[in-house]
Amino acid sequence: MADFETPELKEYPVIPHLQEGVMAHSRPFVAKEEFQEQLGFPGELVDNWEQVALDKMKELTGKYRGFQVFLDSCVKCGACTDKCHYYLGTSDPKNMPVARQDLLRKVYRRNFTFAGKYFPKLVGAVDLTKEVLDDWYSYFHQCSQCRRCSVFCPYGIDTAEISMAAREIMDCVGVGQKYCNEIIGKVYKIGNNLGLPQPALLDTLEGLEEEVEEDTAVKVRFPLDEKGADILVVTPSADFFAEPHVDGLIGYAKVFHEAGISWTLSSHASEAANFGMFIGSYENMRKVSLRIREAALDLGVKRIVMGECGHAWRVAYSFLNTLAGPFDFLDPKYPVPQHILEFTHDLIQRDALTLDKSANDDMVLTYHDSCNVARASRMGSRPGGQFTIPRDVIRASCNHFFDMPQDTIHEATYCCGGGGGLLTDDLMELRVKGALPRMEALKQVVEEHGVTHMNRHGYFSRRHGKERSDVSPLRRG
Amino acid sequence: MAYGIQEPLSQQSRFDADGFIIDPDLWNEDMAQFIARTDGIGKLTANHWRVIDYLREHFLKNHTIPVMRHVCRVTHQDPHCVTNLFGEDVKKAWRVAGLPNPGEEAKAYM
Repeated sequence: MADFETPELKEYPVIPHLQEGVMAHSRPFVAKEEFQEQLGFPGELVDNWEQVALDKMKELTGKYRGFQVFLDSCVKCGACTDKCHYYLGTSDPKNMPVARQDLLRKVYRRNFTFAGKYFPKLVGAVDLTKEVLDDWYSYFHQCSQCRRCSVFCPYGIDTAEISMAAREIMDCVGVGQKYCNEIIGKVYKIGNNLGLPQPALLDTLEGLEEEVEEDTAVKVRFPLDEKGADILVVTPSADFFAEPHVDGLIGYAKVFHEAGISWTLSSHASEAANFGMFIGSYENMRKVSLRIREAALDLGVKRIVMGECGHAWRVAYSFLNTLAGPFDFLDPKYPVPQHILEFTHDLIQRDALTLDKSANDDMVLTYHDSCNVARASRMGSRPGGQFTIPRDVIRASCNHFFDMPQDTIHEATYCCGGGGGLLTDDLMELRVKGALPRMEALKQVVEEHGVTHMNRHGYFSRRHGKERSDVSPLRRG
Repeated sequence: MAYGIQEPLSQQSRFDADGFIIDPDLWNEDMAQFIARTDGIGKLTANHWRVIDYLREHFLKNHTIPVMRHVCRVTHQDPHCVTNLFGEDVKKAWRVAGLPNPGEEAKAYM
């Protein structure tokens, strides 16, 4: 299937020799007019796009002070150069975080700094041209906004913020990305990324109820739009369709059943994955988030629990209260929102769940820390909870667990290759190559400990794993 | 990823850029056999047809894609029947069943 060379998994990670421009061709499909317009963006490249882009850049530096600090403070120390999975997997120097930032920084300098205005050559400042815009479109869609580089930057410069701003600027001049923008439009129209209307959700949930009853002889409910339930669960719509994601949803239902707590899903807020973040659009991120507030009010719930999804949790944990708050109508005894793992962990701590670990003895598990959970959020009430809570839950339900090497987990976790709005087949080469460092780490625990399953929040699709069949099977536990 | 559509030119306008049929009413059994051959699935058996029939029935009722494991369960087959029969890429089953583009998010997980 692949019409590119899949990089070889080596025993030890190797920093590759530079191959200039080898990924210049990698770019996602451009959004059509109708999908741009439904998000409030121009349908195609506007005539005075250079000025529109610069005006937007100026607006964003004023609105997001971090963005301006990141553009001003890089000292070119090089600490980030070998930290990006896309550089390690592709060898393209523009995938070094500093070089990616400089694609935008050089235009910022030319237009908004004294040195760049009067001595552009001395400070690497350039005018915004069509070639620069093309480079932006390629390389700001080769960043999964994972923030790994920011952990190693002595100034904490976050390339994710710069990528998000760049995508917002591109959307505003009329050059948006098809995958994200088409999907956000579907949320507005139907309520979720997959476009599952209420009858389809009901049909799926009924099917799951039958399946669980057949398997366990227990009638576990999967409620939808039930007013008066205690908890509103918001989960990515992939959980209603994709495998193994649907196993996660089945797990949530079993946990709620066992805990005896009433819960419901909502057809209005049937999507936790907020693609507004990927395109850096505050307005779109807010519009998607408000659906959760509306559903919570309409159903009269007391709590909001989020299902598993790395970037959904980043939006929910870091921004939900700002975007859609205040949530003063919810029970103040509980955090808003709460992660499903936090909720499950609490039940385990209180011995409210009976778990038979031996039922999972056929599995040897490892855990992939999602970038967004690891570096852009927290979980629970203690620092580092986003690392300990998931592992505690796995250890409570499985006898065989091994972590991948220390420099590839926790805050140093590697991206799965497909986050940040890049999970589209248009970018399969990038995704496979970008998964290299994570796959090398996985291969190590497969060989050393016989790991059979990798638990994760991230975006490995089945085919994504298939491209790397040398470390299969990659089923989610 | 778009499929290399090899139907005769007269048929190509029936498919979109991703290789999905535009109008599911224009699909017929001969076309299914043809797509299956083109995509390397080979001759369609009774088990393939049970999946195809259910996918079409579900789509015409709900206009969306079902959980594949559910498809296998209701057609009384092994839980991995769709990938066993049509290959790892579930988009092939969808294409053979003559159903339209399921959208960006669904394609990412098929």
